[in-house]
Amino acid sequence: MRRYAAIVRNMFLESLNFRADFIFMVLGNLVGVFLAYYLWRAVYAGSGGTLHGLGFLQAFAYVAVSGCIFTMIETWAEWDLAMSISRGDIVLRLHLPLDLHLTTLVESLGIFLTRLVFTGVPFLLLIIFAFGVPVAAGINLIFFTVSLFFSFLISFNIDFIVGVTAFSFESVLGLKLIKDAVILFLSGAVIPLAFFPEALRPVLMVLPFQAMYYTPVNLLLGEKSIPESVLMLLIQAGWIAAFMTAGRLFHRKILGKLTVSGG
Amino acid sequence: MNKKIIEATGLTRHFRVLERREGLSGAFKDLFSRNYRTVKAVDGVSFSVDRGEILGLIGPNGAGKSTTIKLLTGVLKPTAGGVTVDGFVPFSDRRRYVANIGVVLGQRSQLWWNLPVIESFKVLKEIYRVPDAVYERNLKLFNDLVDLKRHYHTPVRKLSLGQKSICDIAASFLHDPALIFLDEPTIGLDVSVKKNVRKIIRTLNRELGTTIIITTHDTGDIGNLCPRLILIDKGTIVYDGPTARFNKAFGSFRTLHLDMSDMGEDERGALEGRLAGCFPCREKISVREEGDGWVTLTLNQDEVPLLDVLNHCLKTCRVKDVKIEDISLEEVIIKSYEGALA
Ligand SMILES: Nc1ncnc2c1ncn2[C@@H]1O[C@H](COP(=O)(O)OP(=O)(O)OP(=O)(O)O)[C@@H](O)[C@H]1O
Ligand SMILES: [Mg+2]
Repeated sequence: MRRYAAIVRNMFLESLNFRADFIFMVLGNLVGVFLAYYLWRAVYAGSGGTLHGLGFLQAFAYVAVSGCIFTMIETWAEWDLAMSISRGDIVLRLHLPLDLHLTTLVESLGIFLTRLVFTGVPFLLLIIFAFGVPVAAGINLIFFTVSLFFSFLISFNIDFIVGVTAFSFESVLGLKLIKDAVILFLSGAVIPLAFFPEALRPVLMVLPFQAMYYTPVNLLLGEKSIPESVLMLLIQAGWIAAFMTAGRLFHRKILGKLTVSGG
Repeated sequence: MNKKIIEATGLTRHFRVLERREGLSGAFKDLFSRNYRTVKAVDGVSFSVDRGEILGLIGPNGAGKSTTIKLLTGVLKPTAGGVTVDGFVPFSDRRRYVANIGVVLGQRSQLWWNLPVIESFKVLKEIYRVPDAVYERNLKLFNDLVDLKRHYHTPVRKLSLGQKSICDIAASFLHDPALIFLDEPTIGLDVSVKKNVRKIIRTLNRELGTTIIITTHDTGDIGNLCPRLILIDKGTIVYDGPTARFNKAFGSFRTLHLDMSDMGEDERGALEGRLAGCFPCREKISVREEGDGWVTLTLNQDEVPLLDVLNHCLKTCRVKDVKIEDISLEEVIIKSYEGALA
């Protein structure tokens, strides 16, 4: 474990070097939060307070917190992986006496942690204190933290699978953007699930994507009872197990197929 | 312990490469029917390496050297044949196996790009679970050879190519590997850094008994480091034996490049016959047109003095410029097929 921890540490240190990236990410988030605020205020104008059972602050909170989660769990792992396969840099990871899937995971974890500390937490504070989103200071915070980490694990494994399949396509970036757009939409991160047509909602609830955004946001806002919250976490854990297994299968399959370019 | 550390038998790796058709209509056709071509990068090579040996792998571009290294380091799965290294089957046992080897690639760095050099060393120490004493000893060994300490706190991206190469070699042996594979470690380095790299490799081999496999295009690396070499061409072994025998067979060969662009093509064409007439020898002087007016002569100094041939050419032809070089690897391979090393 210490071996992988050392990689997390270095990846954390290394991503601290991209200060300009952070500044732009923070600015981007800031713009996003303001846009969401004014957009949803316009949507709610003249609505008499609630739409589809959600108040304005709730709807805004869903979208703003989801955006914030996206910037944390979106570590470009699929891009890094596809690029390192197509450029052949993947050999450098294969030379280490480590598991490729786990190594990629902990590298991604290092980036996730930097994002959490330097953009995630400040933005959550901003949303809560500047915009007045009601978040209780109780067990919901612990549920949220666990759930956020779970979301990262699901997201990483999807990225891993996309990354190892994407390198054979000419457009890794295109595939990545489509994947992000689909996940954000179907998970209720762009438009709260409550706003989706009645018929569609049960379908979305059995898809894995809601577990990545809807679950942590719900747990943060603390609208569910403790047993309900625990159940949501368990469902999320179930999705992690499924995606971890799929990631392992792809990992096994790809190792024999790698041709490792260059040299 | 087995004396042989590497045993490869019929080691083969083929690649299936998509032949892309040209242009837009070609790309469209590619969507529906694809043409594959098989590249025999490594094609049935067998050899063995003794513990503590320094072995040089040479060959022209695309010969299959890097692919051989990738098969030996467990990165690629062989298409056929097999290899064992230090009791492991590299590809199947990769995770356990690579703990025991070090790999240096001239074109890629395993160091963390934005972090000070020492941070990379520290993480490698954790990854390979290197005991403190071994880690300290190896760093000291390195510091005695080349002053590495002054780079410890420099971010890798700020190192020069030469400094980075030295650090990469240091990184590859921190864990006391039984073997180190170096794929073109001296590529792009100047003479003095090359010398340092060779000194380091020689010392590691002598002090720690590390087996070294090195690929290179620099005959200086081979001459200075490797008592034995393997010459590869088109995925097969052309020569495997002592460097001394190789040098004896080819050391007296020279290539003479002459700029004869002022002469007509037929005039240049007559040169080969005329040389054969003037300098009768067992192996006739080969003459090759380079297409840009330059002509390349290859001759064996044991049979015919270079200066006589040069004088003859200067007297009988209009020569604008002259360059003299050792025999090229391409010529060596042609001559090997003709039986020069038999
Ligand atoms: N991943 C790959 N996919 C397809 N073909 C490959 C791949 N890797 C190598 N080849 C082909 O295999 C052959 C041998 O390549 P290799 O890299 O082993 O040569 P090399 O001896 O290292 O050459 P160089 O001196 O230029 O580095 C070449 O024809 C190359 O095009
Ligand atoms: Mg090569």
